[in-house]
Amino acid sequence: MITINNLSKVYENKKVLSIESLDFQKGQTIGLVGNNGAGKTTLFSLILDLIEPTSGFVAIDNEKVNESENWKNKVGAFIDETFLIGYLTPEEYFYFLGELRGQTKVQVDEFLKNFNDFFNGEILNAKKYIRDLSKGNMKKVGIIGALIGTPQIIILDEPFANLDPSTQIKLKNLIRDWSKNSDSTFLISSHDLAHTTEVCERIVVINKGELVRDIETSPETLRDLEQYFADQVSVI
Amino acid sequence: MLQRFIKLEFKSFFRSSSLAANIVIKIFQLLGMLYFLAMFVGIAFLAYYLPKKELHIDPVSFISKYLIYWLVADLFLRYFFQQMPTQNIKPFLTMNIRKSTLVNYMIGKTFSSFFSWGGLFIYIPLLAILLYNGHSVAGSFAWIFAIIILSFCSNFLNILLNGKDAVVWIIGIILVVFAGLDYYKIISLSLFSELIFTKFYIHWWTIVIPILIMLVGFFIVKKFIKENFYLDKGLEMKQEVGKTESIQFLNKYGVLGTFINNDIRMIKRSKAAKSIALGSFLFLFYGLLLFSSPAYKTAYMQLFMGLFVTGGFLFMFGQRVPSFDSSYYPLMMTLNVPYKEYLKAKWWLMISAVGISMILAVGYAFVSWELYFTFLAGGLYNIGVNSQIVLLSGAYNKNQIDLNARGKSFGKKNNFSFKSILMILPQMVLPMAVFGATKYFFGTAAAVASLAALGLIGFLFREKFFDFIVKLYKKEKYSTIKAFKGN
Repeated sequence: MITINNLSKVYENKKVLSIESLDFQKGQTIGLVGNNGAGKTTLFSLILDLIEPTSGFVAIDNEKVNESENWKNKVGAFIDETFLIGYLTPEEYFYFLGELRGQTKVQVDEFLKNFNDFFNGEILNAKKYIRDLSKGNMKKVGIIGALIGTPQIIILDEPFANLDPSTQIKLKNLIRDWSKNSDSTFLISSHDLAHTTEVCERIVVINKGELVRDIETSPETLRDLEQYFADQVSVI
Repeated sequence: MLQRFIKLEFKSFFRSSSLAANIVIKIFQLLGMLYFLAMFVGIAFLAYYLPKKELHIDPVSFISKYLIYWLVADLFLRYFFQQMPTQNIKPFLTMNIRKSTLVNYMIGKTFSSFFSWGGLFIYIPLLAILLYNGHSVAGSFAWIFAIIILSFCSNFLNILLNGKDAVVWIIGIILVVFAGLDYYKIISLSLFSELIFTKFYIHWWTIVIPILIMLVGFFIVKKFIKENFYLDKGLEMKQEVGKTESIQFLNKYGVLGTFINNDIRMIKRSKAAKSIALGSFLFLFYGLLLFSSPAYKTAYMQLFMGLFVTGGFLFMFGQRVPSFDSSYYPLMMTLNVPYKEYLKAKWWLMISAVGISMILAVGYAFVSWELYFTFLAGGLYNIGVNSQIVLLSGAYNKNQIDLNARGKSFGKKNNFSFKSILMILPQMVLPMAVFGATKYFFGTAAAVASLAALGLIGFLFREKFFDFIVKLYKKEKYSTIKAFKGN
């Protein structure tokens, strides 16, 4: 589904990302783990064609993202607040995304009904523009926005950050159910090893721009990962 | 303290990512400002010599008549365009600075605004003219200073009114009603104004009254700001009640309609976009400058005015086209957004505005039909050609606009780049030359027709042009995303 080949990004002689080859298959839920500055957001930005690769390419369904724009029909993403339109109400924002992904208003309304619990009554009909929502609620709007129209690939950057504990649990359930009941590919980045190992079938660890681990999740994974990052600290 | 604030301002200017453009903009701003100041001095001369030489009335009582209108208009302009310096004060709140120092700094900063000191360029020359013409020294000083002090009071009033749109509109409407009553000589506010303001001239010691008003105003404002000096009070404007809405009939046009709906919502809800829309409305009155100078009597200068009278919104909005969407540009770039539809939505909005302006400009027919037809020609050229050129220059516009900032960001960020300055050639110079030349040789009708023809050609080739702009947008994609990310 997503193919990464020889991909690198260099900023003024500083290599921030260099991945020889990486494949994400259809229907997988993949967790991308790494420290700050490891290159997680850079990788996402390259997949979404928001920055230009220094070398190599990302292809979605064998079409390079910087050449064909067909991938835009297949991807829903929420990276940060630049994916929200502040002056719209959440409903208007959802309808807007729905329209661009070929959904009618009625379909969007129907879809949103599934998330009443997730929204906790603070988002729909709240008579607020997105810009006036709290950080956590903005995040909720962004995450659900990325899901509208059931895209084949869903990319979420740090979805657990800024969420309250209950919502984190709800989000974990949501991702698990969703990946079980659809064949969407999930790509999630996080600092939080526990959350990631809980919901993802596959964990990809990057460190200083390089791929260091690529493992199937098993009961031991969390311990392994903690050990790995602990070693990183003691090396220094 | 103050120098530290100034230092920070300098750093924010010199460390901005668009420094070179900023410097050019500052130079242009400076030139623009000098032009305005020169005009202000001109107003002072006009205000004195028009009544004296043409109407043979005493200038002091003539000006006094209209001062009340002037002061309210001043308040009105301040309210909608003067920026409240609340945003940059936030980081200092938790620092070891006395609150009253911050409050004084904030009040002081409102006086550093052009709206506060620009007027002095009318008042001081007027004072000089009065003294030169042998008016009473004490009287002239008292009269002018009364005006200056009252305009300072209007600055205070503006602070107190901040965020109370309804009150300001009511004041405006009352004023217009009174102007009407005045015009039909039912109730004369101007006589009342004359009675009050000439008092300052006749009895110089009455200046005490405005001074007292100002002092009281200062303490009220100080108290007001101090009480509201919290993040959830004065420093952050009230949250508006969000309303899900759309213009129904636009929904029939699919993605195009959705985009237009979004733009209309943006103009309604974002302060930055709203003040730009309001500013472009003021361009409708640009034609009134006709009376200010004989330079405007020439055909090409009249067309120049026509381009702005009908194209205020087009230029103000159009040159900021991708910038308005800068705060969510990455979203737009990852969505399945057809560029062409996106541009077309903006284009429809702009040409509708030009169309409306062309209808509203009919008021100029009172001056002369020829003038109105000239403006119509400008409008046609705007619709056919400029609407597209403006979008083209947008492809190079890399200045972000923070829509979510609830401050009045008018004039804070400028959106000129070298390339958009170059675009002035086809936007202004070409139609002016064509119109001027055709009118000289073949008369007004032919001149209007020539611009209409140019407009029609542009209109017919618009699809081709859009394709070209789309290509540019794609080429500039990465650098635009990057520029919109940081300031």
